[in-house]
Amino acid sequence: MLVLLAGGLSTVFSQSVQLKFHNAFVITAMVVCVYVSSGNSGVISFGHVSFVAIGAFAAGLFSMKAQQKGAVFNDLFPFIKDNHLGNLATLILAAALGGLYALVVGIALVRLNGLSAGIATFAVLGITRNVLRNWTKVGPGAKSIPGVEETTGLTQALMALILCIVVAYIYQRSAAGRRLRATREDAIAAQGVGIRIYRERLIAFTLSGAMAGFVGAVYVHFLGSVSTDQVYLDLTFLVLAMLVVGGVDSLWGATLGGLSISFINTLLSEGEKGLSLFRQKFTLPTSSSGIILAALMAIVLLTRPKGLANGREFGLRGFRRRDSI
Amino acid sequence: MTGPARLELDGLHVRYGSVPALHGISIGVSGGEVVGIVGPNGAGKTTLLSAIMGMVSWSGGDIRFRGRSLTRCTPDQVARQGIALVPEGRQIFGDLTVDENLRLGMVARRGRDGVHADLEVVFGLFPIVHEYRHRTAGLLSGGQQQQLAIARALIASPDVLLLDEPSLGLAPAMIDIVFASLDVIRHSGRSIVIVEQRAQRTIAFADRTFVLAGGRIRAELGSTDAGHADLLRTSYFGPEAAAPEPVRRGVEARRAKRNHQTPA
Amino acid sequence: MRYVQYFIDAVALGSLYSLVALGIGLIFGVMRLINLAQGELLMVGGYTLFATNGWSVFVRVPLVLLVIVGLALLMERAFRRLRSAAPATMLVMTFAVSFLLRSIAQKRWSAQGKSMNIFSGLSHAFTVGQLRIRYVTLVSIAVGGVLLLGVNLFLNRTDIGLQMRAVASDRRIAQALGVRTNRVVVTAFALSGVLATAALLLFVPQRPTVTPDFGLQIAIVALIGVVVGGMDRLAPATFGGFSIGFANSMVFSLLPTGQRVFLDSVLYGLVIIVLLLRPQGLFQRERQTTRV
Repeated sequence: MLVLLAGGLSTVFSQSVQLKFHNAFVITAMVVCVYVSSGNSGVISFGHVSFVAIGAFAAGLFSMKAQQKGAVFNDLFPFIKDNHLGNLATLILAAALGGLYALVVGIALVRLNGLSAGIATFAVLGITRNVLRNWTKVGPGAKSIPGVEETTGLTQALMALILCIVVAYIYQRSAAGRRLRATREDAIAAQGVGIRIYRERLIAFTLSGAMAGFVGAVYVHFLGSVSTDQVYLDLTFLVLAMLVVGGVDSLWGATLGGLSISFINTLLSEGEKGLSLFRQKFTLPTSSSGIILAALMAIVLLTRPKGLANGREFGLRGFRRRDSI
Repeated sequence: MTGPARLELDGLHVRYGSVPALHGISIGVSGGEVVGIVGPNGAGKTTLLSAIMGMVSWSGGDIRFRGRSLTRCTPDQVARQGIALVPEGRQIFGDLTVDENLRLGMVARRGRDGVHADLEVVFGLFPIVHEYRHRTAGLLSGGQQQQLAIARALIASPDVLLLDEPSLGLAPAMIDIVFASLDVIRHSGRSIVIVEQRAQRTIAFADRTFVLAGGRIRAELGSTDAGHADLLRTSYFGPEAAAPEPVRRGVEARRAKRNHQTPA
Repeated sequence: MRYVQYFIDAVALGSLYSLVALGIGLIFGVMRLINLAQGELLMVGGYTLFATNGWSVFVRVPLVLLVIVGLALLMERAFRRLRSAAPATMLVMTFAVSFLLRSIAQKRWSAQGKSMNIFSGLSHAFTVGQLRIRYVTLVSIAVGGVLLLGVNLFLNRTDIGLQMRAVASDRRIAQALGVRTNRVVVTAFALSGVLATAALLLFVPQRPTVTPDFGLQIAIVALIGVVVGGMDRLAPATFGGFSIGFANSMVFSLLPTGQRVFLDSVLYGLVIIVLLLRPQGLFQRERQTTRV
């Protein structure tokens, strides 16, 4: 279906707009990452963009040539400054670092519930950003990492998204995934049948951290450069908003919310520059895209509080109700 | 009972999503009348009271109070028209003092006239509420909380008092106090609708008692039917209830379990 | 003596955050809603100050109050339909409103800071021994104290205050007793607007430029304080707001100058430690946590 979608898009929109749709696929992949942990466990996380950030910065720094790094970021630890990795290697490194960071954070934080968990993971995001921005031995400081090889094309972005959806689907259908979903529905009953909530949550958190690190690397190879502000508050809330607007409790909801909002977002911001759609030229007033996007999300939430998917799920034969999983 | 009904349920249907909870309930409550509703768990008793209060919406039929339909009335509007609820499990505000709980009961009063006289009556019925006025309500015992809940409803000076399982989880002595107070209240001209699992006592106390099961009225009993265990059993479980003993034990066991969960 | 100076400054900042925190706590209490758009009340008030630069204070203060309370009431209308929705849905809805207001501000005034002067005399300082105290410091502490006391009296001594506490404790039952819950919720939003106005006027001397993100930064810190203190009750929530403001100022003063850029990391680290040790809230009694 996604392939059809991509094909359809290319016939409707001009070449320049098509390029922007990579963004939609990558952002949707992030929504799927957050879903793996928050959707299955029911515990909201504001911290996943930290893992995206770690992945993006690691991939960005290691894909820069050593002499280039020496010139721009002289403070870096030698092992970061002097080493250089190929594209595939940076993706693997980003996934490993994202997963490791999520594991460390998760060991401390997955015991928390509800708002405490939300705020604690938000604090992780704050620390990650603060350190990356100010500790010039590990990060670029207030500058952005320039000149990262732009190897993420439409195909690569779509492949990354599909990979994330497949991993999320396999996890969700696995025994571990089912155990975690059981704790979401009724924590006490789940413990009563011997499920260890802490362990199940930690597995999901680490998995989604690794996925987020990977997506961060894909993201940086798409952007070509990255600064700390690009992977902070706005991205966090945007990704969460997509998850909730789509429907938190199903993978289909996460995908639908991510794709629909980020496509609309792309269209709107292109619309500000003037957009030709079906050979008609449209131009939106400057910086009105945020206003329209926010208003749209508000309307969806008011009319469908359970999200666009409303509990429906991916299934081999049509859509199944959530209860049947 | 003669005279026009003060509160009238007319073919009431309630459903939760696709699950029907009440099928066409029709009950009229006259001024000063005590109506009992008994029935097993899940019969729809609490739903019935919630519908009257406007806390759940109904899908068919109507509820009229003093001749006016309560359709689309919010719970606060229902309360201010003169219907007061003593909810299941008491539901007093545990963080607030006894006095503050009573003040919240006054919100639904139509006018401040006679507050002091009504307070006198309430304190006369429940001396313990007066004595513990300044205590935090959550620290009272279960029976004391039940008295407070009834006092809080009475101070609204309602025409109709709805009670949802007032004896639930109370010690026998406390249950006597509760029923004694209800006996005084019925003579003040207020109508009472009492939902209970303690069928015998309710049937003996009420003017009329309806047996509710599976969302339908199975029988209507007068107060003299209290001793007729067979009649009650058939109403509860249908005419085919050939072996009542084990079944009744099941009910007893369930009740004992609930009592255990909410100690008095 | 240096530490006394730090302490006074920290108490002043703590008072400001406690006002915002109390506003957040009031709204959370009556409708279980975490209003991320609370900061936009301050932001819109800030642009009102910018637009009325040079006008008489006696016009500007009532005008700002009117604008902020008006916006708070508009927000209440927008959130009213979501009262029974899931917490995450409500949270994202408030974020959408926040995003909407920030986008409008950005479109109207651009991302560049605009200066908003009011009560410029408050920035001046006097010295007592080695202490250098700005007037705004004293006024913040005084206004903070008076308003906290005022809200406390309002909640404990008036009928609508009692009803507000009842709604916070159990909305269904309060409504069944005849409490007009809409009126109570509207009152809570209006009250939080008044608190936001006071906080804004006192923030101006130390942050005299308003940007579209001006309020978000303040509200997020206050919200963190509220959760750290304990959301379920107003007093812990307010103390939480105070603590985060206090800690913010104190840690900043105590960090060596070169390390001050890591202020956020230290603060967030403290937040995580507190949440791990007392997930139910720093100032919350144990008894409250047995609920599942």
